Amino acid sequence: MGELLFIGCGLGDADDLGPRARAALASAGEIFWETYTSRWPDGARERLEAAVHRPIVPMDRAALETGTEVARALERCARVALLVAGDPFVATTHVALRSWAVAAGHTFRYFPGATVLSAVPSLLGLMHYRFGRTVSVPFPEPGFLPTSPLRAIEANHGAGLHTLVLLDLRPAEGRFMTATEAMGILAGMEGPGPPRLPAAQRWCVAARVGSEAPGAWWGSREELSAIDFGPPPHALVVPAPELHFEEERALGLWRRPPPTPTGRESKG
Amino acid sequence: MTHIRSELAQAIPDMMRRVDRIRNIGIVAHIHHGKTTLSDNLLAAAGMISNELAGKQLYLNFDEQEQERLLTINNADVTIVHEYEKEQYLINLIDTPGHVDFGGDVTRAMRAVDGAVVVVCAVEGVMAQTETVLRQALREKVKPVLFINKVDRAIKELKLTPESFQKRFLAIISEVNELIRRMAPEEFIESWSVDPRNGSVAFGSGYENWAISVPYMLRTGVKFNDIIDFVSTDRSKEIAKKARINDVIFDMVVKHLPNPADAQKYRIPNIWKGDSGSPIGRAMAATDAAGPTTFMVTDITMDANAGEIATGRVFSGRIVKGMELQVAGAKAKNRVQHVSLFMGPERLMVEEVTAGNIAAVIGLSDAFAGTTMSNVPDMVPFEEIRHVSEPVVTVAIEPKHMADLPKLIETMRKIAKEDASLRVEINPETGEHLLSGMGELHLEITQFRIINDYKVEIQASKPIVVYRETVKAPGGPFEGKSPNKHNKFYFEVEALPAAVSQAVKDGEIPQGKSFKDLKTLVNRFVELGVDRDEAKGLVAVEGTNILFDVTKGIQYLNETMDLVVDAFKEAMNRGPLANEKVYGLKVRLVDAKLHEDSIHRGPAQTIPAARSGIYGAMCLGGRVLLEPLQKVTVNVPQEILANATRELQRRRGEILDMTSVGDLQTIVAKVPVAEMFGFASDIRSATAGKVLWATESMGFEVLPQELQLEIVGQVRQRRGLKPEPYDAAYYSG
Repeated sequence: MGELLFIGCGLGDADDLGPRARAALASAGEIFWETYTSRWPDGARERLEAAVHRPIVPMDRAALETGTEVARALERCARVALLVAGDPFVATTHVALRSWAVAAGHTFRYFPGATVLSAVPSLLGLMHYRFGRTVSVPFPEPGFLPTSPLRAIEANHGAGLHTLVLLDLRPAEGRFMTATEAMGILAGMEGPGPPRLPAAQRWCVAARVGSEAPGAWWGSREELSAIDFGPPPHALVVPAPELHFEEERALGLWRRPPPTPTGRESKG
Repeated sequence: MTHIRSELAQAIPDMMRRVDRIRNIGIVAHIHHGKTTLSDNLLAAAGMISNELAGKQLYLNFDEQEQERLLTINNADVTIVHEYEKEQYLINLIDTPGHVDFGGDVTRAMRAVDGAVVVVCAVEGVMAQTETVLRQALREKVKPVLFINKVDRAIKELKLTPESFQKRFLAIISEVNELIRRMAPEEFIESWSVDPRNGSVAFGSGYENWAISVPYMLRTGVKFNDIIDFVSTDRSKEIAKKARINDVIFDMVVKHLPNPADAQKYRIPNIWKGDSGSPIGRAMAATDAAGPTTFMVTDITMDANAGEIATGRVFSGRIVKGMELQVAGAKAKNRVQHVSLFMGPERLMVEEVTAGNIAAVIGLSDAFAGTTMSNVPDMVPFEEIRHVSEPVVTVAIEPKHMADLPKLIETMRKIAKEDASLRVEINPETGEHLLSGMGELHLEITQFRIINDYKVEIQASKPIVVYRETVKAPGGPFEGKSPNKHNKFYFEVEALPAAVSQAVKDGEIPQGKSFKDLKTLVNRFVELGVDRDEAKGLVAVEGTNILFDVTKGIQYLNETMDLVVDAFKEAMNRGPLANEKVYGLKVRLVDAKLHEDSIHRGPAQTIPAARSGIYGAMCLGGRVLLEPLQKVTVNVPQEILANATRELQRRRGEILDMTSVGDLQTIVAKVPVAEMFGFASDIRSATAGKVLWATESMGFEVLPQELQLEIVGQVRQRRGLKPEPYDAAYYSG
């Protein structure tokens, strides 16, 4: 029976992998690299292949979900590695794959990676203790405009909690939702009745967290909508109505856009 | 008396506004019961064509095709002025096809009129299509009167005594009344019965140009015995002078059929579900020419010079040259270039057509048969015009010269616009252009038109039968998984109760999703025998199939339901057995397990999951193919009866009924459409041409077991699928 390695690449790319992960990769018979949730810079894969002396085979969503390629690889060799963006078991698919592997008699090893779930609160300086349910905003499609993300934001806000809002991405199509788009889509979830966007609220945007050029902003939706946050990926945070004084101080590090021409300022 | 055409132009603009003096009528009949000859003679009397030509010319069959085949294909309309009790009346007459292949046109014509002259042949009596056309009329709350035609033939051929004539006519009348009682709107069951004593029944000969009614006989002293004398001694021309057909029939129309103002009061709630208290609702109920304009297009014809002509009923307001109308629910506006009244193949240009009349309008490029148009934005459209039968035969058409392809596509688009009982689609797999219709003849005529009227050289495949899919027994629950395996949908399927499928087919239960008056609909389902809790879960109706959600309180299911409906629609339009449409299926969503995060349950996950769930449940229920059947009615002389029955039996036909009148034998048989190809020429040669026959749709039935595998394989092969359908294990993967 084989061993399946789940290796989190964190928020950077292949160059950020630590020595322990590299050693494990070098010992694996086959290496798969999940491409549908991340995009590596040009040359990163080749550099890693050279370092671990193994080819790295890209794997799309469908192939990972059916699991057949991983299963076949485990029949061929004793150790198979799966490189994923962020932290492996944050994705339900990896949890399912692990359950299948264990049931099939394989063992697994877990190499955690940094994840946006903690990195965004950390960069902004908002306490992870105070976050409610995380939501994500999907690209709207015909027949699919869910309002549950807005309902969760409303519920968190009502309970005095922050909400981390993750944005849809399709690296294969070169599509990454921007924070501006996401705010528009959330506003579009408002109907005549509830759920509603929290009123007179400051919002936070974090971009490229974990890279060499991260950015963070806060302000009213109107103020933020005028800003170009630069290249993806982006994330949004809807902070709780009241901030702890340390949170207030931390947010102060980040740029607040100039007041809108109407001169109306948001509080805080 | 009836006024001739030259006087019309002056008289009409004034008359159009006297709503109580208008009658909008259609003439409906079983095929070959003499409807078009009757219409022609009515026109001859109105001065539209010369007396000599009437009855021979088949003027209303102005299409070359129609003349050749002695069939009426398209509605041809005409406006006539008739004098009754010293008052002048404007009669808008719509001619309708009698052949069942063109049934869609009849349904649409019924929307435009308020009354119908039902023509029944004295020799043959009430036939299958008599019932069909009567049902179409009554469903639209169109009031019938009865004309018993071909009395001349009955006299000469049947040679009955006066007493047995009376018996024969009374039998026809009571049969028609029985149909009316069965199918009439509840409030009119009694009052819409026809009765010779009050003059709502007339007898005569469209061919010989005479008609009588009881009030007419009382008024003139002519007795039925006199008529028998005249006809049997070949002196029909003398009766035709005394008992002019147009006078008797139009008198009956004016006296017994409602004017638009009276009719719209009860017809509008039946055909329009908008707010009756709104300005539009009030204007239509009052047939108010000063109100907002509402126009229901019932027919589109192509004119070589004028282009597309939209014919239909003005229910309120008026249509004036230069005004702008828009399709209900659409933004674009169309400018009215011309407005006119139809005069058979010609049109009489007028300044305006007002509420309660039938107008022919040029310039409405967005209009289709069935379109609602108005000068008020966002008008609630009229109820969809219901088609009784759906296409059962398809041919694939391609241009002889590839350079003609764009022209062919354009032509097929136009033809589909003209004839709503045709379906045109492009097969995404093969790129073929598919033309589907009501029968072989319907498609032959359409092809002839493409070649001769539109000048596109084409070649067509052999006709292909349209099959349906269903299940033998209840199937499920079956679990359909999303590709990411994080979402599961559980479905059960079974055949819908017959009463429910009929209500769906009749359009009583509307198509689509998000129903306006859910409460009424739920009550109707309960009446039809559906469990109330299940009925409350109504989600969507697609074709003859219904999706119910019987789950309770599943989080996030509401924002996934549109995608489940997409999957349901897809599955119902492409069945799991041979990609044919699914027929009469009840689909129940019984459970669902959904991922917390919306991105994990988007279209790419939910649609395949729900589709597999439905397909899998159908596998468990046992999939079967249904084939379309036709009721074939054949009339032949006694001595060649055997030839005709042989022709039916060798086509897997089942004889349902045999009756004889004099020497004439009538056979009613049920025959699969698949076996009916080439029937026209075969029956003609088998009977040396001494045959009259008609067909009518009989819906779908399970294909015999011994043919299932073979036909499924054939259809799949034609579609480029692997011969074996997938099994339940495939859909659970």
